[in-house]
Amino acid sequence: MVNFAHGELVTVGAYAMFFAHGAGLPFAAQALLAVLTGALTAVVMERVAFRPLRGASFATLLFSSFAVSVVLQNLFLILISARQKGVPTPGWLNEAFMVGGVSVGWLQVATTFVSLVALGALTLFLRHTAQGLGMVAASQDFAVTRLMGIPANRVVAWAFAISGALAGLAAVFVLARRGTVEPTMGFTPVLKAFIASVVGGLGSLSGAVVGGFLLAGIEVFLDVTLPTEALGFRDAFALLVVVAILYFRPDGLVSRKLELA
Amino acid sequence: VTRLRQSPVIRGGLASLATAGLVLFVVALLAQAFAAPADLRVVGNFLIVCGLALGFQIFSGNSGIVSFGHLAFMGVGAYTGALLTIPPALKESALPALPGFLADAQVGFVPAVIIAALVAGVIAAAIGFPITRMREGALSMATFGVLVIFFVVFDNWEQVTRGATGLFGIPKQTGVFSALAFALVALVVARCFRESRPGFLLRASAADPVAAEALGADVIRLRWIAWTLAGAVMGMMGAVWAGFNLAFGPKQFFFDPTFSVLAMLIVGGLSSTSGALVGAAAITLASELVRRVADVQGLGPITIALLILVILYRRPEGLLAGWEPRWPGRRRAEVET
Repeated sequence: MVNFAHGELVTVGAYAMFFAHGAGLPFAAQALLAVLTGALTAVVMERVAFRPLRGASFATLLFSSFAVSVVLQNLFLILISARQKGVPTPGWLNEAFMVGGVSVGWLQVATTFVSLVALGALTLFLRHTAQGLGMVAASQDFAVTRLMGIPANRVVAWAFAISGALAGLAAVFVLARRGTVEPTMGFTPVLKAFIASVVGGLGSLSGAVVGGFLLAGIEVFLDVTLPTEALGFRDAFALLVVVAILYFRPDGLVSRKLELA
Repeated sequence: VTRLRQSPVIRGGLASLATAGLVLFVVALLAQAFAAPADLRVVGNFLIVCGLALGFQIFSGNSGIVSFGHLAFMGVGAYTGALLTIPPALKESALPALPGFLADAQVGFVPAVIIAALVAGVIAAAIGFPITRMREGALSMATFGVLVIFFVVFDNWEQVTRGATGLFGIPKQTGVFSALAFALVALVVARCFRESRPGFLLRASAADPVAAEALGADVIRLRWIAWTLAGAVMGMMGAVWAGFNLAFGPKQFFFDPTFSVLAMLIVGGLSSTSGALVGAAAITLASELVRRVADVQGLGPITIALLILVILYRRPEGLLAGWEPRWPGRRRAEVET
């Protein structure tokens, strides 16, 4: 399943931080609230856009989650504000330290560290717990998973909760980087994440990581090599590479078959 | 003559013209006679959007594969049509870096639309050649890439498109009736393709690709033909749209309008041309109603999105679920899904 409304989970998390900050909560509590709100919203989303349509085609689910994404975005617009809202990050995250003449920001260190921990935890969970294995199974064959006595609906709901929690976590770092929250903020990072996971191979964790690094690598490479007047076209070139990869490897770079073998 | 009269292509085209075409004609006539200028614009844009929905229908409706990318070809058509009709004097000041042959060119509205359709068709054919070779899921994703790539190009190619500011100064040459005329061209093209041999085989391949291949359908080629034809129709409607709205920017060929055209196909049902038209009418009516009752920014998209969800729950095949009007006489076997 592809959840088009994943970006809105990031936005929800960011708004949760905004309100938590308004209520005077400390940063750690804000972050926790962002993760919880993301998870909760994701579970509700699964009930509205996915569960009633279980077994429907790829395109149908794409449309239903697309619709949910539009509803959420415009609800933010109507109920909160179209304008950017500032959320200050704690001072230490914006500071940097020097390592051998290279300035390293604490934010980058924290982002990397938390991503690695989340990735490690997710890998362990998917490979070594009954819940996690059930999740992988449900993604491959929903009906058979149910026949094996696994409550597949609950497993899918958990998968959504986890992806929502990770989106909330991402919201903390996206917010720390840009400092403001607005209704459409989830769009760009998730579009990139989406492309990365398709290129890497949907349904494969290592694929998502490979895809993410590859996309970032292509972008930075183009940033450095393209002449200034062509920089505006960077995203077009990056996507061209991505489409080319899809052409030669329609299942992504790390295909599921390869991982099963 | 008898063989011609029995041809499903001709009978399909006639049936569509006699029903949907007549309805659209009456709508245009009533609007021209009674509507205020602002409402006349709404009707004109509705007719154009009918053509756009039909363009999407030609590819997605017959092949069963969702394309997110065809608005890019509408953009190609709109820019081509605009650059061919804007007076050279204006182009010299607004677009000083425009290549010579474009800078001096000025043709009438109809030739501009035809050239736009050809240019969009050729570009669609070139892009579609690798794209239609992909497998279904990857293909959908790649069309998404096509949409973004074209947007980035429109948004940054200052010398030709004026980037994010957009083009202006297109001479007013269209009214509701020329919008109607081209929408009807799109309707006849879409319906005739649907009933033609390639269209029939393509629909069969959507129902069961393996069986269709086994019966000799060259699925990749068929997809490519539909993709290219759809691109040409989008280009044509893009040029008409540019001639009707007179100024535009790259965002009008990006996500928000793509979403609303796809919404039309979902609501009406994408497997028939009539479905595309009914969907276009439903979405236009819904958003106009919301705009008039409560003009709150964001309420329109929410209504459309909720409409999509209700349709997906209750009637996943869309309102018309593939129904088409038929010309009286002997019926031919249909593709069963």
